[in-house]
Amino acid sequence: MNDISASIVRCDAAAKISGRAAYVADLSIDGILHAKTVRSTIANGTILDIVIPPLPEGVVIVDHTDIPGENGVKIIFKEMPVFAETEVKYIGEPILLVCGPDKAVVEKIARKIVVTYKEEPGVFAWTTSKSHYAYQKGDPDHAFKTAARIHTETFETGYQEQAYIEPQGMIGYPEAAGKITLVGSMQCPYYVKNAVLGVIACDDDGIRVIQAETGGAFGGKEEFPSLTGAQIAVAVKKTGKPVSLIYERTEDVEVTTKRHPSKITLSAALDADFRVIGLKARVGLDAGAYLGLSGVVLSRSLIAATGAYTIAHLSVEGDAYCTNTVPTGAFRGFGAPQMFYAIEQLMGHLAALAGLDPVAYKRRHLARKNDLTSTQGVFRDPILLPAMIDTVLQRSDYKRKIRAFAKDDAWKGIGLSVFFHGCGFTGSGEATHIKARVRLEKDADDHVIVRIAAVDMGQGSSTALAKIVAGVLERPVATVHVPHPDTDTSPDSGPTVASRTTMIVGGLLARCAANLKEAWVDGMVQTAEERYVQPAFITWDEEAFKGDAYPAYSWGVTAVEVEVDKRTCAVTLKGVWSCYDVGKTIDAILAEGQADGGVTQGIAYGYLENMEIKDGRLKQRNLTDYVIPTASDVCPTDTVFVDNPFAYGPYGAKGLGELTLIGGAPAVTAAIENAIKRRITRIPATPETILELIEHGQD
Amino acid sequence: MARIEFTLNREPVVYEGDAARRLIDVIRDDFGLKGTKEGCGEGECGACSVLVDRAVVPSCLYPVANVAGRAVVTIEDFRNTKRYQVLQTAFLEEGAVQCGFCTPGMIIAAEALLSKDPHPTAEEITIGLSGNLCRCTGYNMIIRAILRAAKDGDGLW
Amino acid sequence: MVADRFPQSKAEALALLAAGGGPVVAGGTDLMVKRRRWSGLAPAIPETAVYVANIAELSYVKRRGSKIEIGGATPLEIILEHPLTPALLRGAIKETGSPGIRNTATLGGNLVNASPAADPALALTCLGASVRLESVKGVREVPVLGLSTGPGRTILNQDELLTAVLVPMDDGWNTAFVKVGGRKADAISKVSFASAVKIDDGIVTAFAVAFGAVGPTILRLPAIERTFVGLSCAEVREREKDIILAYGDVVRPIDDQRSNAHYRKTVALNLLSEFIRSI
Ligand SMILES: Cc1cc2nc3c(=O)[nH]c(=O)nc-3n(C[C@H](O)[C@H](O)[C@H](O)COP(=O)(O)OP(=O)(O)OC[C@H]3O[C@@H](n4cnc5c(N)ncnc54)[C@H](O)[C@@H]3O)c2cc1C
Ligand code: FES
Ligand code: FES
Repeated sequence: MNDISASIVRCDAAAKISGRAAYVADLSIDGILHAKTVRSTIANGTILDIVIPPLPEGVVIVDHTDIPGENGVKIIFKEMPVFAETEVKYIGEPILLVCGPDKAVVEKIARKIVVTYKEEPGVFAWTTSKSHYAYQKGDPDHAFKTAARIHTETFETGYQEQAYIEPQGMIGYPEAAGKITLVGSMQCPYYVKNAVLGVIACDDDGIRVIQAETGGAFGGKEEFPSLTGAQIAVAVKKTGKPVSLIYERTEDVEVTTKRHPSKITLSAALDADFRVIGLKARVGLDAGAYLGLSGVVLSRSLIAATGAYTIAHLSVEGDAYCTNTVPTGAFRGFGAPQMFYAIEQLMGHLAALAGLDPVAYKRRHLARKNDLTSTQGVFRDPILLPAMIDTVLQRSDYKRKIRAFAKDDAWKGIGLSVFFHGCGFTGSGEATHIKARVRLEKDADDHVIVRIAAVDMGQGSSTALAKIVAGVLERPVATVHVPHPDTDTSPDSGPTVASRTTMIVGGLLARCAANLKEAWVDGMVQTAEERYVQPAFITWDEEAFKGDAYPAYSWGVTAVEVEVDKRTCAVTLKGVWSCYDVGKTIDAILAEGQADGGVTQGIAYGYLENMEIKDGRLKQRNLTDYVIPTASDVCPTDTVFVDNPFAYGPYGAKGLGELTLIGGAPAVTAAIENAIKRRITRIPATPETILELIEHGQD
Repeated sequence: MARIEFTLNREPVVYEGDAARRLIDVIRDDFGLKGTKEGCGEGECGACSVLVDRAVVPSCLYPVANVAGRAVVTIEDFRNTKRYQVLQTAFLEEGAVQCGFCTPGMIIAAEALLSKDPHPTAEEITIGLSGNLCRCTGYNMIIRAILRAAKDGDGLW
Repeated sequence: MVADRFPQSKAEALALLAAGGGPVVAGGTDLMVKRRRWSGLAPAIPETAVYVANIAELSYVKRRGSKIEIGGATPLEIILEHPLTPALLRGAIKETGSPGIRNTATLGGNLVNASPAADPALALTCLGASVRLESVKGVREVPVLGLSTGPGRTILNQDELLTAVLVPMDDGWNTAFVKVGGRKADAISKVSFASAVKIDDGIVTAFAVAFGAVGPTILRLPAIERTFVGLSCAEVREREKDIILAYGDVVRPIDDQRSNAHYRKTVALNLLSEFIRSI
């Protein structure tokens, strides 16, 4: 095969364009019951009574009393109930399902159900820490004692909604011998399966989970489908009928997980030359009513505390707090976007303090190969940031623009961010928790079926993985097939998260394909399997937060140019330039698509997408009020990928999916700061915020 | 009960039922045409776009009463045309499809745009697509695909 | 039965309304969303609804004397593309919704929906347009300003249909429309501003400004406007401060999920300042 990066047409595209691809809401099953969720209308309290009207024939109520196993959705712990029993902890918490064949009847019953509560005051302040981590590197106390000066700032970030265009959906149906099959829009079929097993209390083969075509996810379909999967399984168990639970947009926005709001205080110890010698970071995340994945999100935030820089002395700690609000969870970047926003802003502000150009200042601190990471692991691979920054500076004409804008009376600005993303699970998660397995099955026609649990939710993994397998086998891509995962036939290659699919699953498949190639006999049915083995060099001490947090790092540089309207404080994007090191792109067009989509989301996180909450109730509850970019809001992007092959990745590939989002918010905020000559410490920097800064802000 | 006659994908059809039903439900549930998607149900996302008398409309807020006597075209029929072929090729080649949930609606919006203006600029395309949200691509590759379709399909629109 | 349900003419529609029919459904872009139920179920619009979008007689743009007359059920996109459409209205429609919404939504619906954030209605208010309200009992023509009495409320009687909009031609006028939304396209206005002035020989002979989304209805204050008529452009510009003060007293927006009162007020007055300085 020629260069693996040379792009091919993605294998699922024609079916999607023509409307033939079947998403979960497109599946129809005779006699299916439609489920509607009755939810808590209060943020905190206990249920005193539920009055259910007389039920017409065929209508069934499904609640916690119908759960054969445990009433807890396994995410990391099982603290979140499938259905509330007595306590309710957030507005929108599910209490029961009304299921029936006729939607009109179901809706009427759902509306007539009266729940009375004993309401308690909601806890919205960040007082109850449910996950706490802390670590140190070097001698931070000494660094702060001997510092020439100390600079402290606090940064805040808001919610971000994944806003995948296909809302959440799950259907389930009974099969022979009490088996239940679930089909849904999801990222992690085995998360759903494992969660449901405990709820239904059945043997491993009692539950089958199949991924339907998935209309975007961005983390939002990582853990949430475990909840709907569990609910639907209970409903199928009780009714013995197929049941469908398809969310509408408003419901989806109101009750599904979002990006954690954060508050991050950073103190930098500077030497006489304004160089950062020490950093203290204090991170708070709002986990919402249940911890869910928040501890893991927090740990990724904390590990990113130094950004793309090497800082010798560190003291980092953080908490994820539970409040009576909708649970937050996985979202592309997984805690890193908040931290990178904060550290990049801080570095920009320190540069101003030092009287230096922010890019020059950042350059002085860049991490280099063989430096110790924040957690005292080692950056073992070459880091190409200096050249990547040069590329972006040159392509964006940064230096000329920043000089010109300083003189220009118009509110024009340009900003640049430097960032990384740790690829794969944190620490030894791959070896201890995931233990990924993959299988290749060759049929008598020499077509190869890839059996994995990784889903294609739009990112193009099935095409990329088919290319990897075909490339190693030296066979045409058209003879390699990547079906939607089905837990009955696909081994657990792990969840589709953490930018691990190409690097880890693809790496396993490449090895598996190499074995198959070795054993290849034309026309014979053959299979090959492969399991994850942790590279020996990785050491990680979970307790001490010490060692190699990730096997590899992808790197990025993004510049954004903006113009701010003086009358309205509205921001217009004028240009976006990025350079990424993802080892090796497996397909140039797929990679560009990930880059474009990711940076658009990241930039919008920084200036456009606004979600607020008051007394536990979200103010923006649909796509009219929660505004995401339209085609008129974006501008052309310029993207360069540099090759820097990673020895353990397939063809040298590292992770790509999340990286591209991370630099967006810090770059656009730096650009807005540059335009309005005010310091921004809170995102999104909406026009309302910008106006406030113009009137009261600091230079 | 209302009785409404219209043409659906060039076939005359008769609908009998509540006049206020949403066109999307009639298309998907009564006629089984699932290529039209529901992303928001409030006119914001355009995943439900169909053509009514050749103009793009959000079928999630279009009362079926209003299609009386009109011609409705969904992706299931449009995909049989030459124009569709050109658009599909352009979308494939330019990488304009990721999760695909927005895509049939995008194709319908692109068809409506190109039938009005066969050679739109990138800016005109962004206006033409402003009712179609895509969360995956960041739009640039979709805009390029439509520019390419306009060029490759010169004379078709 | 069919003819009853789907009026083919204005007269049939008025007869249905007179018989207690309603609500009027035009494009449905407001009504179908407001009354929506679970997807798959028909919105809560009763069988008595009077569907007017397909009445050809109510969909047109034409000249009538010194005015442009637009049929009450004309889709916005038709108006946008019509050569007779006044520039200010065109500017406002261009920034209304998306192509799909404009193909569906009607001008009458925009007015009767009575949103203080409505864009076409803002342009019409600024231009001093009026509407024709008809019922079987008769016809009345009322100014657009005053049609709405609050969000979602109008002076229409149950049996009245908005059959036409009459817009003075704006030739010789300098007009401008500025919409501030949450994003560049397909956004509901957080604040909007329309202005129209006519200047003859350096003297202001007509002056109108209107604000959207700064109060329960679109805001236009003819009493203040009249004080500028007859002044020279320079005199108007000199009074910028007083004008801002005068409007500052009456522009009283609220906080909501789209913006806050302070931002709305500041931006509304910024847009006014810009306009005054441009005279
Ligand atoms: C996604 C989206 C985006 C939007 N963006 C904008 C925007 O940017 N700017 C903006 O101004 N609006 C916007 N709107 C609102 C809406 O499109 C307009 O208000 C539209 O003009 C309403 O017209 P319609 O024909 O659809 O009204 P309908 O929904 O049919 O009716 C609205 C109301 O008016 C009454 N009515 C309608 N016609 C008549 C008549 N002839 N006589 C008496 N009563 C009548 C109805 O009974 C109903 O109460 C948007 C809506 C959506 C869904
Ligand atoms: S589903 Fe109709 S516009 Fe979103
Ligand atoms: S491709 Fe996923 S929303 Fe457009």
